[in-house]
Amino acid sequence: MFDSLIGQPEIKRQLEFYSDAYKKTSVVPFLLLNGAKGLGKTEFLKQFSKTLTNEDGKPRPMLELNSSTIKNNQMFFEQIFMPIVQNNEITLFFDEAHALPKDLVMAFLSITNTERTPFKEFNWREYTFQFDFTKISMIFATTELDKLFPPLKDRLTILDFKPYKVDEISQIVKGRLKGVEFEEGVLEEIASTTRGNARSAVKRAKEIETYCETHNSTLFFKEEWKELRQILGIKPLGLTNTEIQVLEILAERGPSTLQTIAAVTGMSRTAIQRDAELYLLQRGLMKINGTREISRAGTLILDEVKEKGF
Amino acid sequence: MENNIASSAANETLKRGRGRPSGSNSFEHVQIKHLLNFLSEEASIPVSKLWMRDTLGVVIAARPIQVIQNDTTSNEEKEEKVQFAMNTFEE
Repeated sequence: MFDSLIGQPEIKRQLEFYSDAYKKTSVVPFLLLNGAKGLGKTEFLKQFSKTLTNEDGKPRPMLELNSSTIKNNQMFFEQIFMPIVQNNEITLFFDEAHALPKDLVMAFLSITNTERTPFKEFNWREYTFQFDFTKISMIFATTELDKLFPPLKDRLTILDFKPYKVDEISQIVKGRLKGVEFEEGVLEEIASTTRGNARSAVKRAKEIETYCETHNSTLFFKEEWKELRQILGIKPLGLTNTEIQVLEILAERGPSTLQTIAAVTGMSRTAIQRDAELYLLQRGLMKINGTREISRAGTLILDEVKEKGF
Repeated sequence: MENNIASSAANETLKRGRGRPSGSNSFEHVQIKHLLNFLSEEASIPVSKLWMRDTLGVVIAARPIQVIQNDTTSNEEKEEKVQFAMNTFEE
């Protein structure tokens, strides 16, 4: 079912289970795909939705909605439900579901309360809408699980996406560049700069493809990788300039407070925590013991950046 | 005291320069034959309501004032669209 997709074995097992169950029950539970951007939530869901066949034997269409553009119940029912969903067999995919408006979240609380039967009626203004969950599947995705209204979260079955491992990223890159021959170890080096993110891996593969095309070559060795990194400014571990800047501040000034880092960088405390510290802490490049400190690994990475000049 | 007088005098000086002086107006008397050199019979020319009333004895009823509401908020709401993409999976 997911042969074309790499990684996320747990997600594959879960979705296969729900797909098999659908063949017997015609119902898909209300799923919530949770994970950072670029982990493949939409791609996995597309594959899953293809396995849900409608009464006519065709794959169930999937309507992908940007939740932040739905401002209220009126927009959902008038622009989406009445013209597209009603009387059709369809999967509704609410991307970035944490951005759903409050009144629609309340409506979904009522609509998704289907313990006894897969049917639900919902009254809105002078209308009564029929939700037949043998025909409509409702699936949600979020990058910010903590922002989702807890009672709605409780109604949903959560599937957690994890960062990709280096060998999985290598496979993704290699799979996109079938005609390119890589020197041993290069794929792993490339993978280490994608931050465990499948979308970054696809983007990196595209960059390598462009490089090979412009150099009229199908060989991608360490020398080529070094040149491409220099051209595009790809840092070790895929670090951003902001993250490097934070490491430099900690290396130069020693243990520092968040306030100091904010003052030096000119960024807000929240932005530093969210956009720089999170990944630095994940990779063990800095530590927080009351104040912020650069770790041994962080110092080594900083030396590498200075030595290579990119 | 002197200051008050000076201030009052200044106000009077200012007041004299304000508004339309008594007896003056913005119109001139022109003979119709001279105007017809410049205008066709279909030309529309503005005349004062007072002139119409006093000369022709015609009184034009006041038009009801049309209130146009500044309804920009609802226009913006009307224009808002939900962003979506349909995947049909048809080869």
